[in-house]
Amino acid sequence: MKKKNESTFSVKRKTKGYELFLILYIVLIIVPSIILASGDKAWVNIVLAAGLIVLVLFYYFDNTYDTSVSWGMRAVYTAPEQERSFIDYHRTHFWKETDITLSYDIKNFLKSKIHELAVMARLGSKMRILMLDPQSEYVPLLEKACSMKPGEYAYYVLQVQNFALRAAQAAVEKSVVDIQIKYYDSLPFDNMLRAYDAMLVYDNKENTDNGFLAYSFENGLNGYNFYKTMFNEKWNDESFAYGKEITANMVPNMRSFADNDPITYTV
Amino acid sequence: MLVKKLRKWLEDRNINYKKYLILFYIIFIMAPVLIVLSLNDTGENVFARTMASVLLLVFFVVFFIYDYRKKLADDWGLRSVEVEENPYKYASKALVGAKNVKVSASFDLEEIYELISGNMPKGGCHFEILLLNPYCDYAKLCDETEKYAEYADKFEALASQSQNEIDIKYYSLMPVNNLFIIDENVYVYPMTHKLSDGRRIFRYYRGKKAAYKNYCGYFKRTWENPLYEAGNGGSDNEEEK
Repeated sequence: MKKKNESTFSVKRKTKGYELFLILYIVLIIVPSIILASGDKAWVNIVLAAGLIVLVLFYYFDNTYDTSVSWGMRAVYTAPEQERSFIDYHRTHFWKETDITLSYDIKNFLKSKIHELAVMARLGSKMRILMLDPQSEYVPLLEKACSMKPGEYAYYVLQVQNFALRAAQAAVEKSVVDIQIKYYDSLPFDNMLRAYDAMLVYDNKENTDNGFLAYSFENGLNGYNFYKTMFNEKWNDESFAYGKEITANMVPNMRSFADNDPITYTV
Repeated sequence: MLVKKLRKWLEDRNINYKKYLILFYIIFIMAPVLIVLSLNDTGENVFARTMASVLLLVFFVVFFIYDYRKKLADDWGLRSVEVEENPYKYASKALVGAKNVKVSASFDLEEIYELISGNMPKGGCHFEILLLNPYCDYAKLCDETEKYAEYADKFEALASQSQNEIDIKYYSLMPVNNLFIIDENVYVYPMTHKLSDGRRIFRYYRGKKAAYKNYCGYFKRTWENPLYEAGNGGSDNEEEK
């Protein structure tokens, strides 16, 4: 029986690369060096080296190795300052495609990355931003979970929409600003950012010990593919994600945020 | 067969025997033999030649021990990541002989109930189960309240019948994950990371490493403070309302 929504994602075991290096290292460096470096008792050296190699292989290639290589987890950031290094590296490249899922902790996310996003948008990065609908019934609960004031979430969603408009006006010559924003109304997703060659997945503030946890996955491996597939499925599902225009009327207590909490950036 | 059994015995006790094996080999077998060889050998530059071969081997070992990806996974204790439609069957293996089980359940109560009641340890096990409060705001949005209440009753009944010590608490926070901490095994099921055909990602950590500390800290915090209060963020909202 064929399933209704067949997903294209499949887990791939990747075991090439390091093994090849290992074999080349043994064949080209260790074996010749041992043979050249010894006299009559060469066989003792060779046996010893072979024993060491066997032990190291036994130590090295376990379940953890398989997982770490085939899922491509590059780093785990436990503080926003560490995560900054991720952005500092990636801002030196052009992000051809940028996918963002944003709901929890929207304020800190925007404040820490709005400069990079503005530059990339102006240069013509293809941006897709998926956010929780500010009129959803989950929003009060979300605000409570992130210790935000009522209306603060909607205010920052409005800021994202303004950002898209401002970026479109200030485009560099011959580049096309392409920022699409869609909304959904379901249980809020964890934040995600796909930039240049990595996928950054934020763990929810709720289930971390010290309030921040982010995983970065390398391009082309299982972790990256999984989240990319997941994002594409949500984005292309028309019954799930929809476009909408946010107006200032939808933001309760608009005045108090506009005065106290401006986000400043140049486009 | 014997080697397999020995390996399992060592792995169950979480002893990193492989590392000690390599160190033992280098210090007690390789080094003495090489020293004896170099003392007996009368060729030219014997010492230099021996050192060169030793250094090559040491570099080889160091390269593999300090590979960043493996090191990261080792530091966090990550054992496997799977994408499965019914990922709960993986936790059943660890549950059979467990001594200390912590469960935080917010979704899929049916599967979790079946898992726990079907693989109940024979005795002497301490369960701590966190369930979503059936009458809080979150339960109304996530699923029907009745279903949560029904399974809360079932878990209570299980606690009264079982030989094991089972503590149950209810929390009224944003439901995020299903989480099992069975002795030193940590199973994390993020609820929203789901493909369109229902397959879902889950991560399995093992050992008292960074992930274990992180999730135990989270569990302890939730267990002691299952509502939004001053230390938890959210008191401001209540006051303003």
